[in-house]
Amino acid sequence: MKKFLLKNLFLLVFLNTASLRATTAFSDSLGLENRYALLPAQYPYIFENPATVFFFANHFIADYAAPDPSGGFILSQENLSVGLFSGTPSEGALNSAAPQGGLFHLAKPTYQPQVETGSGMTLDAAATNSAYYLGNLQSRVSRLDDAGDLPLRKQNLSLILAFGQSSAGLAFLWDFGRVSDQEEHEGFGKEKISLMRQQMSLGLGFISAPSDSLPLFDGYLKVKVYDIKNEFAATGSGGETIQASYRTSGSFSTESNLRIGIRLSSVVYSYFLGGLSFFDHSTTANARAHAGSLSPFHFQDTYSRTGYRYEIGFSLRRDFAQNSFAYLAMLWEAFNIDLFYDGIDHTNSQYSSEPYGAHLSYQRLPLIAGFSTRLNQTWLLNFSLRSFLYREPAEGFVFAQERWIRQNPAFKDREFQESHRTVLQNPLATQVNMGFSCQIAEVRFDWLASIELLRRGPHFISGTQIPLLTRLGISYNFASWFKENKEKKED
Amino acid sequence: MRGDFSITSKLGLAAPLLFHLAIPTWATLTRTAGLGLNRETSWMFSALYPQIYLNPAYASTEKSRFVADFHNLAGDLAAQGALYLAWGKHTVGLLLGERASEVIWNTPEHPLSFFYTANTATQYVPDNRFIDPAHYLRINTAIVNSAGLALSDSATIFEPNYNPLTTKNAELIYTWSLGEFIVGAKAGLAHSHLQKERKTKLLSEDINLLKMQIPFSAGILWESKRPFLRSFDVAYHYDRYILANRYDEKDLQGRQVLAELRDRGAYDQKIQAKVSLAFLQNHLFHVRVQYGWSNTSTTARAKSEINTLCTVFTDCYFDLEDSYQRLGQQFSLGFSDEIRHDKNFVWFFGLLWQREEIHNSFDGYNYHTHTKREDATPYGNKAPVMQSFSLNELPIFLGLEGKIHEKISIRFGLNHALINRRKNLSGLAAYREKTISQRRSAGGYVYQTMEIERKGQAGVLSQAALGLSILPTENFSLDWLLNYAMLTQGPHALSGKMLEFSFAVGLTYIFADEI
Repeated sequence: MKKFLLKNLFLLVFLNTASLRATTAFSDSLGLENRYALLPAQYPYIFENPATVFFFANHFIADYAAPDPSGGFILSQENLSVGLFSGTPSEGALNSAAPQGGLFHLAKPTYQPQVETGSGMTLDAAATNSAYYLGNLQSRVSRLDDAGDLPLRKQNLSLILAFGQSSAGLAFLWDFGRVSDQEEHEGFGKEKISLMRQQMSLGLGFISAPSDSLPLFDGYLKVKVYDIKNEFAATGSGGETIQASYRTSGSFSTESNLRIGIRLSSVVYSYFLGGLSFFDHSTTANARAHAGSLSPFHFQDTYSRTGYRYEIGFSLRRDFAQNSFAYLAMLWEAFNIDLFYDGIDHTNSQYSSEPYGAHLSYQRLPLIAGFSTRLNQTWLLNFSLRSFLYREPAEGFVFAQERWIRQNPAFKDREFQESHRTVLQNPLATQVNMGFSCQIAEVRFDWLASIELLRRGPHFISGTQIPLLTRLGISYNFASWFKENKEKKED
Repeated sequence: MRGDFSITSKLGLAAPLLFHLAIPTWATLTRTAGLGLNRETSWMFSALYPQIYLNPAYASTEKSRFVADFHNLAGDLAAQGALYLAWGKHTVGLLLGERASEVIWNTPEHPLSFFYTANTATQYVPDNRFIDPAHYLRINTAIVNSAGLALSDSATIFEPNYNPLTTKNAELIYTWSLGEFIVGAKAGLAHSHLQKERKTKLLSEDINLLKMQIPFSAGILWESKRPFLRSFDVAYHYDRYILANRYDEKDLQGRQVLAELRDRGAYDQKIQAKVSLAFLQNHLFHVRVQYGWSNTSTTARAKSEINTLCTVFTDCYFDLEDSYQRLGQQFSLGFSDEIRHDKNFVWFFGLLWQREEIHNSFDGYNYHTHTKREDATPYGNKAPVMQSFSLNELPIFLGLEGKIHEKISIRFGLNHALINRRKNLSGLAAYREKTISQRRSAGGYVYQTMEIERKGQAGVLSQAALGLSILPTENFSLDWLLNYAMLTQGPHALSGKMLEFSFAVGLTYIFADEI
């Protein structure tokens, strides 16, 4: 039987042993947080490209970052690897009110506040208030479009199946996460609120090592489907009924990425990556009342958020003795997003007088320099500096076009009105990361340490409370266990 | 000699007579601060990393390394550092987290700041006489009354902190070793831009705030093998500053409302030379001279062609310009003696004389009426003003570094500013100042001149620093700039007081030889 992929891939993919068995704590201490594609063999990247699971054959890996742990194992035999994980971080868009396509982004832009959004309703308020949309309703229903209410932060389950031959492998990823909550009140009237968010991903990835000079070529395609179903229903004592909801509208995203590694010399490697993703993060909000003493109304807001994102990255890595390496990495990330928010009053057949439409173009340019080294047989040290070349917004810069105004609410037609905004603000302070790893037999502990603790000193010196670490990773290589069992059987 | 990476040399604790540390191999900003020195004075002691800011040729190294500092030396907690990759005779470094010019962008009280007008520095003008250019130009009022952007936007033209420029985006450094000579160059960019544009049926308007600093420096280092002349280096620095803050509004008829603050080709240039001499046993003498000149002049302009403003101003149309000329010169001459009687102990003594002169001249012109700025009194807020500042400083430095354990060293530094230093509330040096303002007619006739002169001298101003270094491994060093209050107040466990262990922590890692 052909030797297991580890031998073929790992030797060809020239991995420095310092970076093997990387946990999220390890990767983050290298400054790679959320940009794990910049270096090969980063554990969190297996949830992007499942084919990179071959780097972690027969490993148990766990991460702890407050408040929850996450982790799982990868079982590899012959040509097959199976990975099972739980608690891995979920897609941010499902919990985000950020303008970069967050499924709960309802915020008004600086210049042209248009659609009334937010808040919620109660039965009493709705009964006496015939104003528009969800925006004029009250507290109970405010939970429906609140990004922070019942967020989905972790995946329930992630499953990876990988098949590989001598220098190539193919892998599938399936992961799923769901949160839900339901509440009922019954008195003079009856109210019921139910919240649900879920996300499912399907991915297909490959990895290969075409030659000595091209030791890495991998890529993946992933589809994510989002589902939000937040609903409120109430019945008053007089028979009035109110219904409100905030839901996804066929929301999904696709991601794809290709990466190639080039061996420049025996100790210098460069990696190039390119990625493209599309998304439709559209949602709708509905509010409806009828019967009893209520003035009937039926309002609907539609929030269309579509766009695409591409990234081009480059990193240069140089290996040194003592299992050390240093690297420089840069990634250009571009988001192009079209937002269009509109509302309709079905009862009076009127559209929102001020629909909001915008085209946003965000760019980010993170620049990372870091190193990893083995201090002795037991300890590893990682250190990195990470700087975003511009800071606004969310560590990037933005070009925005904002437009549309409707003069006559009776008609759907709207007029174009233009505003532009460009922000390339000076970068924030450079971020510094430091991590330690401790290897004891087949077990390794990775810490993402607090640099501020190093400066201020421990509590008995400084009197200030600073956590020792911000993230912990544990990995265990149980390949030797299989080997021993096999030898026993052969005996 | 550059290849000596033993622990002692890494700490700058070379054996007697081995004053070969012209190239900094093992030090951080934190370690430099522990000796009571900073970037500008780091030349006084061998092998201090910040010398790369004085001459980029010092970044040359035979081994790749990583340097980082995490500190609050500039007031805010910040990280900065660099990764240097070396191959053969070449070294390339990427520097992250470097600060942009504090004086030009973020200290409006300083006479050379782009945002300095006499009224922003009342500590220099104790009689509270001031110029108020924003008022004179009436920019804010003009914009507000022309249905344009909100006041909060237009005020940003004169607001130094609205579109802040505090950090350089990145810097690159390159060196090339040519036998005994090393040439080096450093270039980078600090950039901040904010722009808003709006078009309606009635008007279009655009506010554009741009700040940019383009630093460049180049230098040559001659690492002599001769017993008397150990090294000699020269360097040239050029910083280009670009300020272009502008509000531009046009209505349907093409009439314009304009407000603008922009630089007039602003720059800061320096040339410097340093020689290191070893003509006495156990002593290494450094002598350095530097001359710098700068121009940070700006122009402010306000223009309106919209007659709806007649209700606000007596003159319906205006086109006004204020010019702020700021010219500076700086000269410094320094000397230090580095003394190593023992491989575990080194101390130094340094003396520096710095002379700085600034000549500012603020005036205004009305393009609509073609008249100069005038005022009925020489102290009115429209009076033209000329200011000159001079500063003499004579700080002395004293520091020592000792190895107290195979892997631990400590250091101590003191500096005293001996003459002509008045420390004010903002911590800025106080200049000897002469201000002349004029009563002038629109035709330029000077009726009366008022002259104010202020000079003085404070007592000695002293600063102390305490540092600690640990070398966990041969390639890895950690430096602390200790909080010396810890020595008087004790740690929290004893005193119960909250006290930071250090102001700064630095890390250096020198990569081992190639595989």
